[in-house]
Amino acid sequence: MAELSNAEWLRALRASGAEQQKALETLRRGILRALQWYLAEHRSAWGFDQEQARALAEDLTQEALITILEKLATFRGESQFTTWAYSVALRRALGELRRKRWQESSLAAREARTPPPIWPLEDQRAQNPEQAAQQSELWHTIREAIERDLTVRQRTVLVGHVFQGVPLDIVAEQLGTNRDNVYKLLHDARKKLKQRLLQRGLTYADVLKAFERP
Amino acid sequence: MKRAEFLQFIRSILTTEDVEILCTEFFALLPRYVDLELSGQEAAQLLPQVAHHLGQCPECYEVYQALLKATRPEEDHR
Repeated sequence: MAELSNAEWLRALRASGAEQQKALETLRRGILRALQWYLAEHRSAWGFDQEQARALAEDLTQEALITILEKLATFRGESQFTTWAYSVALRRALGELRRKRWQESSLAAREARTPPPIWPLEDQRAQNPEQAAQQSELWHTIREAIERDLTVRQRTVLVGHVFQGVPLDIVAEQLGTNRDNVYKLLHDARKKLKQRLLQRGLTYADVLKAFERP
Repeated sequence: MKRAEFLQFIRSILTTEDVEILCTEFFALLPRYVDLELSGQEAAQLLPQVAHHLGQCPECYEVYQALLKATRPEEDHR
C-alpha cells in the first residue's frame, strides 16, 4: 500500500473530491488484496469455491470501507494507519463469515443450551483402563463445576460458545447484551473452573497425560 | 469437539488471570501489537495483556493471524 503517513491518510480520507477518492481507492485495493488472500487460504475451511470467495472479497471490502470511514475518529495513532484499517476490515469480515456460517448451520435454529455435553470429544478412545479413568475423572470434575459453580448466564455462554461453537457475537445477541459482557461472563466462568481444578490438584500436565493420543 | 480444541479449552481455564482485557480493548491494541511484531520488537513483552488474550480467545486470535499475514511485506505473500 502507498507510503502515506498517518496524518496524510486521515487528511485525505476526511477531504472531499479527488483527494478522498484517490485515498479510498488505494485503501480499497489494499483491503481487497488482504481479503482475497485470506479467503483463498481458508476457503475450504469456510466452504466457498473460488468464485464465491472472489465475490465475497469484493462485498466485504466495500462494507469494510464504510466501517473504516465511520470509525475514523477512533483511530488512536498508536500504530500505522494501514495496520489499523486492515484490522477493522478483517475483524468485520471474519465476524460476517462466522455469522453466515452459523446461520447456515443446522444448529442455528436452537439457542445456546445450558447443559454441558455428556462427553466433550468426538472420539472416546483411551489407551487403557487407567487412562479412561483419568479422562472420566477430569471431565466429571469440569462438568460438575459447570453445572454447580456457574451462574445460568455463565453456563449459557461457556457451553454455547465452547461446546456448541456459537460465535461470541451471536451469543451476545441471544442474551441481549454485547461482546465484552459475554467475554466477561466467559472469563468469570473460567475463573471458577480453574478454582475447582486447582482444588482437586489437577494440572495441565495431568490433562495432557490423560488425553494423549494412543 | 476435537482433542486439540478441548486441550486448548483446558489450557485457557488454567491460564485464566484474575483480570483480563476484553475484546474491545484487545482490538484497540491489536494494530500496535502487530506493528511491534513486524518491526522485530518483543510485542508479547511490551503488551502482555494482548498476548494473553490471544491465548484465551480463539476468535480474536484468528483476526490477529489474518492481520499479521495481511500486513507482511508483499514478497512474503508469494
